[in-house]
Amino acid sequence: MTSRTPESLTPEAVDNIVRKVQRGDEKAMEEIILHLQGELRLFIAARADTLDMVEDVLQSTFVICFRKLDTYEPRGTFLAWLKGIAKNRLLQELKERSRYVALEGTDLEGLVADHRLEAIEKETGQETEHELARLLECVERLPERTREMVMRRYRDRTPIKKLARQFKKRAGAVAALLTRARRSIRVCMESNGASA
Amino acid sequence: MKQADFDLLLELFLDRDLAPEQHRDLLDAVQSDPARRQAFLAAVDQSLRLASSLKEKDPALYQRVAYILEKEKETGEETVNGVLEKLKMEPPTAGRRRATFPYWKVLVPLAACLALVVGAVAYRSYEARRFAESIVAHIDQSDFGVSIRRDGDVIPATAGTPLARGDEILTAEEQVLTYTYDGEDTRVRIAENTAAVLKPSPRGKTIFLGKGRIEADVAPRPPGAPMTVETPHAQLAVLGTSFSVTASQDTTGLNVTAGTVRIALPGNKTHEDVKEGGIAFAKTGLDRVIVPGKLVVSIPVTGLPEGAAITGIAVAGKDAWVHVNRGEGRPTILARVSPASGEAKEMVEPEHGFRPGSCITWKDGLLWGFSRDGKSLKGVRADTGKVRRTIPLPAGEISSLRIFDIHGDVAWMRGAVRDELVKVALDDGRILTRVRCPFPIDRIAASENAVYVGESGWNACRIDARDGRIVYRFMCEAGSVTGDMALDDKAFLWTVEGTALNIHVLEAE
Repeated sequence: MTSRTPESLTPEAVDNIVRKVQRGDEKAMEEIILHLQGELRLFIAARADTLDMVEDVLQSTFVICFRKLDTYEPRGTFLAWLKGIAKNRLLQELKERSRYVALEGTDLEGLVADHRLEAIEKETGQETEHELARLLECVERLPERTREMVMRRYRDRTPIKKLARQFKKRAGAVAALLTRARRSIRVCMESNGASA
Repeated sequence: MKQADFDLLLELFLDRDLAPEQHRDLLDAVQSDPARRQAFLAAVDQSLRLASSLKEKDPALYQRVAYILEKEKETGEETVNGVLEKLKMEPPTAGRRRATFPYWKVLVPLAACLALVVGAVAYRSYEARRFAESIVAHIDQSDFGVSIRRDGDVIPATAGTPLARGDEILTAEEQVLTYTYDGEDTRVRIAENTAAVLKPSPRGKTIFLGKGRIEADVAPRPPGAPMTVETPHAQLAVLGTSFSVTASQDTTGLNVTAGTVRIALPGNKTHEDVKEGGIAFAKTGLDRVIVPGKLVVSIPVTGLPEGAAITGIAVAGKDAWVHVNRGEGRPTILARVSPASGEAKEMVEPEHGFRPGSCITWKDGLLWGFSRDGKSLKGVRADTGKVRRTIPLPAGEISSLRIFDIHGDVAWMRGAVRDELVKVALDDGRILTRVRCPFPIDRIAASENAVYVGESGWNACRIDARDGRIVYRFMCEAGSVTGDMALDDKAFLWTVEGTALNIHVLEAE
């Protein structure tokens, strides 16, 4: 199990930790963030339009969560509650982004922002349980060289031109390989009943 | 577009590494083909999910969240993304006391004395350790007289002096300091007449630039932990790049020499990612980041005669006027264009005609252009085209009978050589100033303080109208090879694309 593989906490276990935070246990706050950031980050990434927005919203969601933690009643719904906060933050950020790009005319970033905003307002963004674990599993199933390329591209955020040099291929060829890799992952996820 | 090309453009978009023409190609592809649009959006979605899923758990996330919550409690302010600038980020000083040693003049039990001494030594060690933990950099080089302000004390800056979080660096005339952050290859140069503070920050390194200029070469930083620079007008986030930032009373200017820097307005309301070679500005009272040359809007012009080409543009209040070639030896016309619809509504022939291809400008209620013989500038009424004023030009000193702009009592034109800009007095045609530009001049737009000069293609520069100094260079995102350029009263640049009958409005400072 890698450090990315989420250790599964039952909703009850999460609530127990939340109660500790509500009683003033700061260590428990750290535990909450450590355990839930992966799943929450993926939830946000499925709705945000850039990685920077993902990290900004993730951080601000936890800030708001702990600021308002007294209003949460432990009923096994903490992650859903957290995702509700994240969704509101995303709406604010995407509306702000949409307003800004509208001033400058339509462009690619505007297209993405508008699409994400529309999706989140209509709730067409799919969410399934344990999506993080499934996605990691599908990545593990890729051929070794492809998996290495995917890790460098997405985990390490290696730019495409640099990736091409590392793999001694043309940038166009690497781009095509990444497109095929993403397709494989999507098919794998769909066959597991999750979105990709 | 071939699938392979589309795939590559998509990856370059995700890297924010598209050239302007590549951006246009990709935008065309996704706008014209629903399948491509779907593929583009799906790829962005998948990439975000993958990047987020594969990211290692961030152990520092808790520290950042805890820090923000602590600051909220201290200040009573509730903030989220805007917390850093609202809270002012005073360096943590609570709890740091000066050690005091009780002075005992009478005999005391030896054990008690020993305990006090041991306690004092332990406290000094603690204080030293706390200071050591707050050190973030060391000075590489400092001119004599540069000072560091720390906890109310003033410390002379010399090579090797450690710099801690909260230190304020002050330089005066002809004083410069450079330092390097410990454990990485990030170097910062504090220029003369600068006040900068090394602030603590939850995610990375933050410098507050109160006034003056800093330049930095930033080693690549992990995502989510940018180096940030704050000024009274903007926030800049840097992941690994070279740049300089200048703060004056009401403006922050950013110049990126390598990599990408994000500049945001306070409250994170809006931001721009400025790439290598790019420039951006944030100003007090303005709710957008200015990126000179960036396309704001394109206006297709309709209602002009068939075969027309636009050669000149002038902006008068809310209206745009264009100078139009009709070809086949026919006299040119002036047409008023509605910026909202692009429709050419009024058309008038200037009396005695303007020189075909002439740029135009608006001044004192008149539209100005070159006379047909090129010996003078003529001002005509916009409603009737009647000549109201004529200004003779210095013979032999002007190499282009097409390119000019007027502001106030002066005209700016291309001088005897293609890269020479000349300032001409309107009352008597005297040449007042000559400026050598970095490229041949094909269009000019002037205001009270600035002259914008462009060459064929997209190179442009801003020149100080008072002393002729080139302030900075930038690239225009749109405009034709030799089209005219005009500044409106909100400091937007209007350019034209001749035979394509388009007006492009660009950002300017």
